[in-house]
Amino acid sequence: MSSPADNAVELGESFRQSKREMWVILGAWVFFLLWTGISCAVLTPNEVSEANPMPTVLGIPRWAAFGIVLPWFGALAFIFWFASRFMKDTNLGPGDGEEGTDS
Amino acid sequence: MMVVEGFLAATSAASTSALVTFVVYLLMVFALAYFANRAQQGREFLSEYFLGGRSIGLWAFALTYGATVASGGSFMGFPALIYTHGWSLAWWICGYMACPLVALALFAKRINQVGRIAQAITVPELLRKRFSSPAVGNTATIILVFFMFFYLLAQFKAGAQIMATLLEGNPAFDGLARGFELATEGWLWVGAAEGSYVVCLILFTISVVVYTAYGGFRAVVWTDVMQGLVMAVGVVIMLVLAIHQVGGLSRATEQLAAMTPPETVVVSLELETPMETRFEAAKGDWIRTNDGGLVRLKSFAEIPAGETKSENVDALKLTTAEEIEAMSYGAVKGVAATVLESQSYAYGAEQPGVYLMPPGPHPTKVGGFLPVFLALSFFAFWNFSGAGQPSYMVRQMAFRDSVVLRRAIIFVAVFFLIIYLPLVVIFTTARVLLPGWEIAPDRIMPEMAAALTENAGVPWLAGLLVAAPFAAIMSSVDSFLLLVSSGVVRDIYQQNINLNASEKQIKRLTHWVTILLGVAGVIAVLNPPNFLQTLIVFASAGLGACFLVPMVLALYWPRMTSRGAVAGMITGGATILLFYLIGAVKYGTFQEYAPFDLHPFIYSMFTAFLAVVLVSLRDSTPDQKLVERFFGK
Repeated sequence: MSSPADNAVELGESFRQSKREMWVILGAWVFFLLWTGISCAVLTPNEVSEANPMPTVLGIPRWAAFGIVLPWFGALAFIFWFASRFMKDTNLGPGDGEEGTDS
Repeated sequence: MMVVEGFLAATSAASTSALVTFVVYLLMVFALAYFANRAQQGREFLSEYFLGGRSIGLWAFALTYGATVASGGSFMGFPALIYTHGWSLAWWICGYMACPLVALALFAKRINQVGRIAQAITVPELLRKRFSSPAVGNTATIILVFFMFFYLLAQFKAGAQIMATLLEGNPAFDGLARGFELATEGWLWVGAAEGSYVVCLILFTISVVVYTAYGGFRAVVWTDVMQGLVMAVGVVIMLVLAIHQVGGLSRATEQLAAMTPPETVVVSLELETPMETRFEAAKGDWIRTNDGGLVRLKSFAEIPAGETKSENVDALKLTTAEEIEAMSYGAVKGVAATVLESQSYAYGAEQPGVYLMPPGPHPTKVGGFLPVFLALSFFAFWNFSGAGQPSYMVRQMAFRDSVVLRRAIIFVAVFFLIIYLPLVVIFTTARVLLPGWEIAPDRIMPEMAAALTENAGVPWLAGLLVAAPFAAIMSSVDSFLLLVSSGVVRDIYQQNINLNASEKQIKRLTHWVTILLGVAGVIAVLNPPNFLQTLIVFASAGLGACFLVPMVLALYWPRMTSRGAVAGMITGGATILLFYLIGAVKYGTFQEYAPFDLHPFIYSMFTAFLAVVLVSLRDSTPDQKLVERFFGK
């Protein structure tokens, strides 16, 4: 979201990097929302009975295994990549007691 | 035959050895508070007490964040919901997979940076300085104190309940509780409360208030680290014990597939022959019915001497043949129940497999517990309402540098995975191991801990397992106490009333506010509402609705104005209140109104966003110096 205020002031690099990270985070959130939502909705059986037992994976209902457990591990892998590779270190500024710009 | 038989005896209260473990745990918490107090000696009080001097390292930051997020709701309300509605809770909670991204990575770097630039100690102060507007700070403080108080109430109740379960059966405690009941009989408000609950509520509150007031933020963080470790270890141990004792996850799933929801019934108890003394049946007793069924009493019942029939009593009637067979041998002898009224679940009655899949059974909702759109909205709710919680924002202002943040994000992701998925497995197996706890579902966590450890021959371990939810609650309560006291002291008193308050005055006021909050909390939850999780969701939604959108835009949108910030906070909060008000009128109970099965929080995000953007764009552009300061090079 750009605005006259953005244009009048030259934005700092750390702010622009934070903004890039924000868009990647929101994109990842949508991806995992769709993965879990679609998998759970599609894989949940209409009914369970002795004739139609609940399909399972390692004892976990199949809809939960592919719609919850698997994407959860997928999210963990993504977070590992994001935090260790994509996210950049930034000088956050002075701590308490250090020289700051308090008004 | 189900595997519940060995559990009947095991559902008694935790043993004395478990109590000893628990007391040791509390002593360690106090020791940490003592050392934290010593560590902050000689430093500036406010920054140290409320923010730990912005020098929190990896372990402390990651675990204090994780432990604070995993509140009493995670270990009391959440297990109760899993127990009541089954595997559908896996979908309900799975938004936590993205929480480290949305609630931590999205905010933490910018909020920490802006907090340092502004030298802000609290969230309202950060907003006030970001917009150079006392109105923004004051609005944020009022909203924060209002919703946070509801959150505190739920945590106080949860803490007292866990303590009561642990201490039940201990003669000294039972005597104390009974003595309290007798001493307060007839007192307004206090007299109506259960003695054991009130005694525990007072003990719990004193514990948390003392170590929070004494040690401040550093004590809270250090105890959070210990509490986070206790939670993770406790859950892993429970998972192993539960799967082992149920005979494997596949077996638990098979047994759950056969289960159907119980019926809510009204019964009358009948003796075979009149007794010379009064007959008493306790809450939780199992009674055979005249038609060969089995009910569990929801409250105490009695039959006067010489008579054969009791007054009407509320009860729960099992409907699964295997459960009835397994629990029947523990039924009270010589008495039978006649079912007078019966109410089946609105969704899931007589439907095998209903506990294994969404939407899950529900006693009153015909669409079940979790329709698809509600599930999707909870994925958004946990992430974004979590991101909007001021208690988490404060922690994000306190870490040392961005290296700590990057590592903590991974750490927290692993922590949530270890906590939440295993809880679903543990408490779906609890349905198999401990039937009939729909009579008091909030108690299933401590009951399960006691049952698993006693059955495994290691009752002392119950102390550690029960300490896990207790730790979760304490780590949340201490954070909220600090948050509210910082709001009152820093944002109301110092910023508005006495700008030149001395450190001594601030210190004294901080301690008094913390103590008064504890006292107010005790009084408010002497007769607490039943739905712990509903209260927590309400408070979370309210805080998220008020703070999330305004804070995100404050951090990322230079064009935002102070009027936009105020409009966003008020509109978000008003939307939540409106939807709960409609829910209360429509359903006659404290419950949200969720049009199209979407949680009100989703609507509040949109209204808050519109309010911030529209009002800001109608305003003149913000002061360029302010923009340069927070967004420039």
